[in-house]
Amino acid sequence: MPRNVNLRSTKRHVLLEVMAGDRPVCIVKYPRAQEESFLRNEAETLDWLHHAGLCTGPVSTPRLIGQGVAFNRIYLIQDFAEGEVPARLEENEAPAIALVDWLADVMSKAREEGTLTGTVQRMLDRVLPKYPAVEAVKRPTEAVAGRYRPVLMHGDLSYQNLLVRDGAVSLIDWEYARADGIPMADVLDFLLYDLYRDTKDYGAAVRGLFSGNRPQHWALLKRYCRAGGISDDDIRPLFQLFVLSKLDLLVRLSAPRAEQKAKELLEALSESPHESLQAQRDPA
Amino acid sequence: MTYRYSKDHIGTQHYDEFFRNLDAHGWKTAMDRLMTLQDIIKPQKISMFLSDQRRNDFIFLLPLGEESVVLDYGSGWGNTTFTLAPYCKQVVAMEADHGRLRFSAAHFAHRGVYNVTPVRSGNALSLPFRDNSFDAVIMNGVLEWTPRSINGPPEEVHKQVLTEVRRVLKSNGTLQISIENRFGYAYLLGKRDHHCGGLRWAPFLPRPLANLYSWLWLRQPYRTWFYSYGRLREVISGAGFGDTQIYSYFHNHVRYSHMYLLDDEANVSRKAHEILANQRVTWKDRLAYRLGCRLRQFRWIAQDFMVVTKKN
Repeated sequence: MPRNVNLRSTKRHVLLEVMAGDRPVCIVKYPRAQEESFLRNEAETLDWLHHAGLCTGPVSTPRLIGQGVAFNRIYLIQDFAEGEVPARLEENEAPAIALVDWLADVMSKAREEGTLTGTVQRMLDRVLPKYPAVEAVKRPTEAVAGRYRPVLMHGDLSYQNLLVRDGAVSLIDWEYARADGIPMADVLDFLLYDLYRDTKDYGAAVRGLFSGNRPQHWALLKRYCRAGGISDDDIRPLFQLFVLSKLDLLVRLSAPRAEQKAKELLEALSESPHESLQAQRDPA
Repeated sequence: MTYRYSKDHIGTQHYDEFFRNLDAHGWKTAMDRLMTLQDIIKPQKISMFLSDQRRNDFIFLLPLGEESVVLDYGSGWGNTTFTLAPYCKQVVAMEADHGRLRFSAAHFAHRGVYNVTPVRSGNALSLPFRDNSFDAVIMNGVLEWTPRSINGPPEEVHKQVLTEVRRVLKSNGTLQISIENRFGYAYLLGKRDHHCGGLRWAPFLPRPLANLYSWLWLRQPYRTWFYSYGRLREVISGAGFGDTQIYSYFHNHVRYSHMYLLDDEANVSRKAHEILANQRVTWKDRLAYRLGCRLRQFRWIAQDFMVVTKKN
């Protein structure tokens, strides 16, 4: 019989916290049905992050301790990540800056060579038949894809997958990670989710970020772009690429309320960064 | 004695209609029509009873293996049985209500689950199984109901039922029990007890007073007893079980995101901190967790218990 084990139940996993004395030492992550490929993906990504020296420091990721198969399903054993879901960015800027710098660091250590052209083409092939409105962003996204290398992308960087304690950040739940990710996507995810917490409206979150009403969020985006060598002209097409990748995920995963989400995303496509406005407001 | 049933009770005529529809139109239509009985049971609740796997995550805390033979005692509509089936060699789904058992048997067949044996049990004090038959017995929200069909003082009935369960468990077999806490904070703060016609305060009143209260309001005795943390341990050990671990849930044993060991107050404090920081909580939850942890006595007011214990 398991001794000193707590259980956490989430939509996608059952997590067993194994204790040694009064402290949790590791997590056994067991997937619900149909989640196995994601868990394999998480294992590979955590392994890569560890070998790239990216899983320690002010921003860390759980270390993969082991994996196994029980009842024909893979499970992972990871370090226990301590911390709380962070408060809003306004109250928690230091960890947010550390996170953005870390993401820029990850961008510089890309796992794959070449450009994003192939990835974007595959996305367009999947998304266009279902959402023809995407045709409008086909050309700019293809053009920007040729200028950037794929980067490692977390793929689900909402505040719920961040744990903060004493200024240190842990990034958990890497099952949607991809090696052929889009630059800036994780930062956008992080900033937009933070804004979404206030409004519960994705379109409003996008407008908030790009209209200059949320200078703190905008400054973080610019900080990432500066560190990652992304020019101001590329912010809009990279944002469109980010929206395209979200639509691609909806098409591939048949998520609940996918149509509503897709509608919000397609509306968001019409939003664009107002550079002239930002130039006045952003002293950098 | 005729008891008032809760709103969730589906009568024989509804099951008969369901099976007529099943024969004539197939599973989907029969289920759709069952879902229209909204005056009796909400459709969300039907799908929760039928297919919500998350409420059965407690099975990950049990020592089950591919060779395990498990008794799902009081299997209801078979939700827990479904979850158990892929992880065990054989599951026996035992249910006293004929309609529910027929329904779950049809559901097992519909979903192609073949390592399940539905069994109707008439007498909880004489289970239709040989000694030492099961590696584990699951009693998920069942024990408290047993005195309604068996005469005698409720605590004695519970001990007799547990002793009978002990008989059918293999040596070193595991018993799981989910049951509410008599002094659960939600009850203390006015939650209605659905076990006895929705009476408030009844669980924690002195038993004779609760009985009188139930007679006055419901014209029936109060027999769906729960226990405090300490008394529950005594009842379980009195029936011949040992090595007992007691967990609690956040929020309750039907919908939960956390299960944590109650036996260690330091662990409870750590989990309470995590829950209060990361989960959506009511003021009642916040009050109970803060107060209970400050006094290091949360185990006495935890809302629900899950017991994992071994046959001695």
